[in-house]
Amino acid sequence: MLNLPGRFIALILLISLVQLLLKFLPLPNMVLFNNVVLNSEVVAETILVSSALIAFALWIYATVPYGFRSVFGRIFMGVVLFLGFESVGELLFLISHFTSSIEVEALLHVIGGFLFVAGYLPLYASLLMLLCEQRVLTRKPIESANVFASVIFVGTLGLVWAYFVLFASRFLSGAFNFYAVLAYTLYVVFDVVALMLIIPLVTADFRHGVLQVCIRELMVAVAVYAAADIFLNFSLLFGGKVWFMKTLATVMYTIAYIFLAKPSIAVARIERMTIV
Amino acid sequence: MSEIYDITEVIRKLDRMLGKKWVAIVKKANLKLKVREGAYFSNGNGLARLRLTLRSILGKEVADDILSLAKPLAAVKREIAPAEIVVKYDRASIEHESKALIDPIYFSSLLIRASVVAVEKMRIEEFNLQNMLKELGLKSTETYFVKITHESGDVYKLIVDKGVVKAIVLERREGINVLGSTALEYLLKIKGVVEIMVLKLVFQE
Repeated sequence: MLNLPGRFIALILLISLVQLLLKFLPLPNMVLFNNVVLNSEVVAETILVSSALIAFALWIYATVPYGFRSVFGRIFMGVVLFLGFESVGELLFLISHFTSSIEVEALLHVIGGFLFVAGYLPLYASLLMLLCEQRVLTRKPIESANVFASVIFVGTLGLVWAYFVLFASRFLSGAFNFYAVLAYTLYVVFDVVALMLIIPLVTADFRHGVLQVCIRELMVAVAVYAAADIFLNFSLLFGGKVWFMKTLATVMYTIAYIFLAKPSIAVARIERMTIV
Repeated sequence: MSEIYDITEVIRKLDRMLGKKWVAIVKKANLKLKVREGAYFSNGNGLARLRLTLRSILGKEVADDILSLAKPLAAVKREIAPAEIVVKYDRASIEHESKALIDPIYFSSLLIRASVVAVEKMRIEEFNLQNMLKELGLKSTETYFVKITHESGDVYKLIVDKGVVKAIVLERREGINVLGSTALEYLLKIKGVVEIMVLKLVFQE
């Protein structure tokens, strides 16, 4: 499975711990410019955005030598664009905390939301290309049983979500904003489709090369990201009433971005890596 | 033997797969590429190093699959010199025809029209039939009967046709006859003073 060195695990634990502590410890609300209050939630989100931007920058550095003409160059470019859209979207959401104008905040949310959705398109392109190139990645072709199991398993998540939303709309209609539910549902559908594409490949018998190990780590990272996104949308559906869900979702997002950043280092220095 | 390989297709495949990253991989493999008119060439050792590097990056099967596109061009250098030919012989013939040399009727009929062309005594350190024929001034286009008598008393009888041994028999001093390739092996190990008598055989049309 994944080869996680101690330093990497320590980094994830440290960031997760800091984010959780920020939530628990009473941080003095500092008033910044324009009467904006810097609270613990904003600090936690800043860490999240920083990790997303770092992952984006690392993937740009890794992808440039592969170019856009090569097969793996295109695959990695999809990941770069996905991270680019997502990190800029996160940044816009973070910036929205620092504005006092409701119109500007709404506009930033709309643009950020669009970028979150748009980021899935290059990601799907990359995942489909990986499925097409499975001969290079796996020892044996993907088994039909794996495809069937993954669609049933991941599809169940979508069904649970649909059932939950229908139930909530029917009985708790006053507590939910229709457009917000629609947007969250859209994100969950995108995540479910991504998981359906990833799981058959990630559970296949991978070859023992550096490139294959990197791609497997990347796919696991995307799966963690999708899971974090589904979890976040569940928490947002409650409108932030259950505080720990929002905090856990932020921590999971940060971890997902660190996971996404990790294979970029190996991809950038692939000729110097060795498999033990 | 070091060979030159045309690895243009390998490079193209790597370029299609990994883009310009192949340059870093080639550098890491310490592969000295020769580029001539858009084609890439490498020697066998370089290709072996590239194989190891690619196996680490892409896995064994994929790396071997890509490197199967390399085409060997030509051997450029022989590291081992070909062994000097000491005796040319016809394996099938010496196993079957050598018996005839111990048949007195066949032997006498063979010698009816023969004429002695050389009688020499010489010291042999390493037996070499081709050199011996040259030293005795014999043509490699004729057929000869050669009788070599060693100082130990062993007698070798050979029929040499156009420089190729067709039949051989070793008559040991003890009276034992050794035929064919075994006799040839003894002849190749012969050392010391020998008396050589060569008869030129003439066959009727």
